[in-house]
Amino acid sequence: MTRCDELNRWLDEGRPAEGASAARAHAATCPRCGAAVAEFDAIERALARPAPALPDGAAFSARVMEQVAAAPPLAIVEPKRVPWWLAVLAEPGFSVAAAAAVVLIATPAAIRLDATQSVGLPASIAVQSVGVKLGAALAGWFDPSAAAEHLSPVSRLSILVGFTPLLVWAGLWMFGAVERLLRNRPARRG
Amino acid sequence: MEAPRGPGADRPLHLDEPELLARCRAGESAAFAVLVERYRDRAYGLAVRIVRSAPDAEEVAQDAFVSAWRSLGAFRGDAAFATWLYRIVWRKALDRVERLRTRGRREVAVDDPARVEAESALHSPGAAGGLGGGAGGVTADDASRLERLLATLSELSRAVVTLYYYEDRSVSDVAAALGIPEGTVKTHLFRARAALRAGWGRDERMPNEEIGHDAM
Repeated sequence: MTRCDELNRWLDEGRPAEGASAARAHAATCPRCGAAVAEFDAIERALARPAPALPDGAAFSARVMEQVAAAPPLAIVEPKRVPWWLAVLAEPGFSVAAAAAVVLIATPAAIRLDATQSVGLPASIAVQSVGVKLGAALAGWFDPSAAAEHLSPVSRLSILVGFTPLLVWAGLWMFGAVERLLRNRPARRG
Repeated sequence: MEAPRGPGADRPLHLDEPELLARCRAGESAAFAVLVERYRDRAYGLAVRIVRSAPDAEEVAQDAFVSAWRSLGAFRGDAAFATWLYRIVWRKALDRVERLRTRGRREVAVDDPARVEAESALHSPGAAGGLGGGAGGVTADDASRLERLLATLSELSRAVVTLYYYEDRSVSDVAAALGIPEGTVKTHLFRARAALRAGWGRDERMPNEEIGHDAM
């Protein structure tokens, strides 16, 4: 990239402090870039003018207040109070915890195995052991061959039910993200 | 709730914004009249940049204030009143542009050189109801040229440029007012500057030719 390209980019970025000294030094030696900087000065001066004012502010205010007087009374909207249990259910963390609980409850064999293996072991190792089994159980759900060993169809259904709120939450979030993306897309020129 | 009172002489002009908003929420229309007086030019300034027509911009600003009054109960005060108002103006202005576009009027209005010149005259320093004293060193010719170039930008870019430059708002304020991410604001500013610079240079090289219509 040439110095001239860099200067043009610097101008389009609104003349940030970073790179300002190098750009000015180049503009001082390059007539074309010097002219570009002078042009940008003129544009920014023109942009610094105050925005257009209303031709007749008093008449405008009178018209607004006339409509306000005829408008329905203000509705004081109190923030909706969500029941605590609904707020807890809406938390993605709850969904994960519920799914994990379902796995633990629905796989008694794995837990029993952990319990017997964990006897006499330090607490950290026991927890780790339960975690490994939980991971294996979850992995088993996705792997049909392992699932046959670890999880019954009832267990898999339980996990699905446990994960449903999480999936719904993720779906709504994605829908909102796409909607925001489409709404913010620059308008097409007619 | 107190019934809305008409715009009387007993306006609480001395009150700060939170107090005015509290009174508005209690139904005191005199307090709202103060807010209208404070923000009417800014609301109109944004609207006129988007809809490119003084009468339409007045209607947009008027609708925005009435909407603001009606929905003040829902205004939680997380953002400044101006930011919230800009957002209402922006939506109303976009609706108006869409409606004008549907009716096929807007293209005629924007492309009409006489109309653009009339807009520029309205904005020229010293014009009645116009900008008042302009920034030093800005000629009427420069202002007129800028108006023509701004007309070639998209509505969103014009709104971003208006709030950032004319209203001296930060990038985050502009993002909050228009309901878009800060990155999008920066992108529009970047593109707008590039387009304005390109058009400005072209205009200087061809001072007697109309510019900007190719981009519409």
